[in-house]
Amino acid sequence: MSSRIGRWFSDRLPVRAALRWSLEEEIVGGDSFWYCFGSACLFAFVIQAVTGIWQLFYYVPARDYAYQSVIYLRQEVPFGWLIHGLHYWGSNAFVVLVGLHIARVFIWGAYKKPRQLTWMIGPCLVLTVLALSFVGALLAWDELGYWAAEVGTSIAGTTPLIGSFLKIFLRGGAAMSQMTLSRFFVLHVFVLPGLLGILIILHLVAFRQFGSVGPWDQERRKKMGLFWPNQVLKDLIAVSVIFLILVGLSAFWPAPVTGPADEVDTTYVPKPEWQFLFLYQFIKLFKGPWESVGTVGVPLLLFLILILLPFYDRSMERNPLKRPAVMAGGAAFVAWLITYTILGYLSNATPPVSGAPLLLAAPLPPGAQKGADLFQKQGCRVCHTVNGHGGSIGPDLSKEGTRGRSRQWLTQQIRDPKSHNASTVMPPSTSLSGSEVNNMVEFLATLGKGGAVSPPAPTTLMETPPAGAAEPRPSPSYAIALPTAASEKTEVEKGEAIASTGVERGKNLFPTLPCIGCHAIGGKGGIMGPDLSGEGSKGHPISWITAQIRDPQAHNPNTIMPGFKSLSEEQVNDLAKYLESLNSGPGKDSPGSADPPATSSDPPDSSSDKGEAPLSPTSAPPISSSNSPESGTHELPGPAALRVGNPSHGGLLYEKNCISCHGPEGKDNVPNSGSDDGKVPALNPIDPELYSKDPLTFARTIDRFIQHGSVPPGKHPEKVMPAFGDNLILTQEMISQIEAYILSLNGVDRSAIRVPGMQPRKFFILTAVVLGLLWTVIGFYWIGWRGK
Amino acid sequence: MSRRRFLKCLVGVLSAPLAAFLGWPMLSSLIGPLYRLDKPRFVKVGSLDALPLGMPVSMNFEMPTTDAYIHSNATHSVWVIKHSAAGATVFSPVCPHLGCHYDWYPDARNFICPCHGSVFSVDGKVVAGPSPRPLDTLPSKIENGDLYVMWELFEVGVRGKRAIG
Repeated sequence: MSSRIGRWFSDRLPVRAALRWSLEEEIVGGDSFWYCFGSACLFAFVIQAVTGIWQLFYYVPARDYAYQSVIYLRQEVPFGWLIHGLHYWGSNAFVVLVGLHIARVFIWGAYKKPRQLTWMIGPCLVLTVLALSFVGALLAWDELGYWAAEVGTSIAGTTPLIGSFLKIFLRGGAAMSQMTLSRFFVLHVFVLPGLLGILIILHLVAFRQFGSVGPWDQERRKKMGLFWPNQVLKDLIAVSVIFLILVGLSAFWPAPVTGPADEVDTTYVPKPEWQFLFLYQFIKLFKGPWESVGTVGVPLLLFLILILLPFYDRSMERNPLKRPAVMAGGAAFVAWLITYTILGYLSNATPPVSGAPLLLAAPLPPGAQKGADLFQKQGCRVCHTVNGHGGSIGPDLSKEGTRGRSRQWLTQQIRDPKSHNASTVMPPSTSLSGSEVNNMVEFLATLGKGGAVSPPAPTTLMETPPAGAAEPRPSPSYAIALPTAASEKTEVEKGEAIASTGVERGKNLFPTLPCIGCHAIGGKGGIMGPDLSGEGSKGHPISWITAQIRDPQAHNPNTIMPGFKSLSEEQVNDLAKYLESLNSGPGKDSPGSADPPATSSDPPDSSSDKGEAPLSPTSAPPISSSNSPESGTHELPGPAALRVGNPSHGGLLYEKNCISCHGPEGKDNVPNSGSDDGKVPALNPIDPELYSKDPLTFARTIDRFIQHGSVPPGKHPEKVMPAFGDNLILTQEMISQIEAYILSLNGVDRSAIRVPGMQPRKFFILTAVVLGLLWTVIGFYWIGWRGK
Repeated sequence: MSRRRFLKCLVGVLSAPLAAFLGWPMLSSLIGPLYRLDKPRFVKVGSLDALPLGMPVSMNFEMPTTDAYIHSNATHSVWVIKHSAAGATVFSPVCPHLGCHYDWYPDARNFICPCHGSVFSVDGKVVAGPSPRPLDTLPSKIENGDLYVMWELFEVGVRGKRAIG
């Protein structure tokens, strides 16, 4: 302190003492890069604190604004992408660095007397850091954070005795709500960082009480090192490398945008963040009443194992080679963590539906091959595993052919499982014809013969590894199911008592089936599929109609209309006769009803006709098409246009709701007879009048169609776009996901940064250059120092 | 006992009840609002007319909701299985295991929850997986062909069905 001003301060504050305490430390055995992890953790804390405070200038902890405020920061604030990215990657780095630091301290035996307290503060720090990452995720109020918090608080609720109180205390009530967000916000921004700060200070002070533990080798201990400047410079290099990595990650791997939180959307598959995957996977082993042992007991046990280490390893030996038991224990612990993290990452709780291919040892004879195809299509593999793929609800059938079961037994099992086991949950397959069951039995009889087929993976409930946070579900699922044998019979029986002709029977059968959920007749019914009121005048022969009912995919491979194989031939014929008899136009409520039935419908050309349009899986109560506005009178965009969704999640929703009219990836020009265009507008590429390279404008434009629906110009268009938003078929959040997808099909990134400050890639290069200079300077200093 | 010691003891003895007294309003402010329950009412979900029989359909509806100080229309969904024009079963969309929203898989003819693999049959019974109880039904009534449902939340992860909000 040479200057007078400096002296003035140091006379009034203990500046000199503080500097001495913090910088003048002798390191037994010399400074080392191994000792950098602790400082790196401190650095991570500082990065989180600073970027966290900076985000507070923009973030709003209110349910209706949280997601938007984060997106605003990321897209419209200069370097917002950097601040948010550093915070996101910084949190991951923090967990990794803490892990590395613990490992280093463990190997050096720095937990032994007299440093036990320093070590014991450690697990408390770990817990606080993990808690911070857990509550922080919810703040963005996106799908990822919302569901993680939903499941996490439910898990807390399973704690014995205090569980239900704990859950509603964390949530601020029974449901995930504004109060939940507010509480998590206070925890994340104030309580936990405060706690962390106090623990860090205690940890540092306890550490300084005895200093660095140093090498275990007596020879090496003779050399003394200095904290300042040598260790400090090494720490500086280490943290600057970490900083460069964080900047790089922020620039090239932005934090995921999973779309706004949506309670209704069932296509999102929640999965914990990577640091919790090991626990997620491990507690699956604790079933039924043992579950809370897994969710509460296991973390508690882990915590105790860590924190009590200095008390069950009391030997003073620090050389790792002379502590084989402890080292083996530590290695086993790490191996267990890594294994379960990987298993957790790969696991997929949803059983695979028809998707994964059946692995067969050898080509099958034709009958058995047909049976194998049926086995796929009928969804048997959801419950039964065959050759490594499938569910585990029912027994593994990979060796069914070697079990000595007669063909008759197998047939009986497929048709009526309850006759063998009254309490089975296997549903009866009333839908299959006699020859189809025979083929399936033939197929089953081949399983297990002709050598084993090695399954590709150990877990039975495994599907291909997911990409990214939003786990894709297998093939689209839809809400409408096939009728059970029982309900079908009573309705049909009643119908038959009254009616005598096929048309009458078909007319009575129709309302008992899912058809009216999507197709309207006489103004009553759904609007997802074409109006069938004038089916008879469309020129479809009966054979076409029966084929359409049984196997719509044969006419239009992209349709999501389900095939109704459960119906008998007679029933299908009756339905077809009924439909063919319908000659009136659509009901009086719908537009275009004043026109006489269309006479100019083209005869179906089986090679190009794509068949009837498909069905929305999440059907709201069907409403007549009069609710859709005429095209050209589109109203304002809705809230969905302002929210940034996730394109791959949007793709899943697209497959469920849009694909059968707009085609896969929006490409196919699906016919729409009766409209002026003759086809459904393509989305990829979309009409240039609707396209905009500005994501917000583009989203707003297409949002109007999705919210309010659209009736294409034409005399009597077969397909009409439903008002997905107005009729609550899709939530605003789901619409925003689909919009992100459609934009991505057209090469526009909905989550693009609009005001970057400096392009991320350029900024990364600049950072690398600046840090490179720093390292060069330090390098010269070192060479100079060493040269003395 | 010296005066000094007596005063030390007095401070110690008084500070505990004092802390409790000061702590009581603080804790009460954090815990009180937790137990306020909205009286559940029947809300219109939609028309049953066009629904097929015996198969689950997901129906979305809006409901005026009070979330502390926020009054808005919340969107919820329920699974509806129509048995006849006058009868339907309504399932809460919340999996009784840990609260994820499950989906209907027509191929398997079962409800399946993506989080931990609970499987339920069409009548809500647990077929497989960790769910401690079958699907929760919601009270419903049908008036003039329209379905009305009483939206309720139930405790998850426990064997008994217990309404919590």
